[in-house]
Amino acid sequence: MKILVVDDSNFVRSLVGKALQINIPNLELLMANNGVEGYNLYRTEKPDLIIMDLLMPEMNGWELLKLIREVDSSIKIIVFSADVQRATRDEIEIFGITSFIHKPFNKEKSEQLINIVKGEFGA
Amino acid sequence: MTVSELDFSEYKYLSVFSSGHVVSSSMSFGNGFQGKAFLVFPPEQAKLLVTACVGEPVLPVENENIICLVDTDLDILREIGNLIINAIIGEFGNLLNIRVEYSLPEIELISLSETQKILLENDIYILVLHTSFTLSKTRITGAVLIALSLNSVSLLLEKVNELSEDLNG
Repeated sequence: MKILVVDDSNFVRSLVGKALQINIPNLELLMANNGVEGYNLYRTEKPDLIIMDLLMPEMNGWELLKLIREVDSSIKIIVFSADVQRATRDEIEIFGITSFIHKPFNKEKSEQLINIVKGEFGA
Repeated sequence: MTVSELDFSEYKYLSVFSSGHVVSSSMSFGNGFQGKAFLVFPPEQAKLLVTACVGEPVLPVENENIICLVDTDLDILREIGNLIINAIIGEFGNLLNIRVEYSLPEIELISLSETQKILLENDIYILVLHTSFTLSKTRITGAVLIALSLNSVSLLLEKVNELSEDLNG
């Protein structure tokens, strides 16, 4: 299974990556620092799932989500953001995301993420 | 957390700090609700916070004059600023039923004497809300400063009046 994590924080990528590697067997983990890198990796690597932040340099999560949905309506996307606004969540959910998880990435959020991944892919 | 205070010109938040510099993680925000929010720590407290976040034991800094913040530390402080400022300003967005948009978080080492200038830059920030906090078990102390534009203050006051009228029938 191939998962792409797009977040401009090395600390967050590392935490999310470790949780996935420990809990998801046969995982191929891809990491991107911003939306541009994320989109390039999406095009070349065709991941099964994308976990993305919203606030990022170069290309933010909104732009990345729009670009991906223009060409792919089926790839599973989990938004992982510190934005707690109801309006943000409502607008993001229009793009047909699998889930919206609020930062910070603690034990509870880690379990939530792993459960979603296992539920979606039977991993 | 202490009870938050309004500060028009007295800069009482400076009393939270004893040293000449602070580490600031800040984000500007706009789209109907405009201003800039700062999460500030003395440098040695910022270092302790990073240590706590990576799960290492938080020990007192031996020499407060020699604090070295490396890229990893700055990345973590940027993310902490992102979390705290989003949590606070996002609730203003929820209260006002608008979607506030944020700039990317910025990390700076600033002199306390410069904070007045930074808070008042662009002449749009007329009100500063500030509160200090201490993280339990760690004794890490910092402050949150929120500088709001005149329009944003008016929006908040209108909303408070609206809520007050609803409550009072």
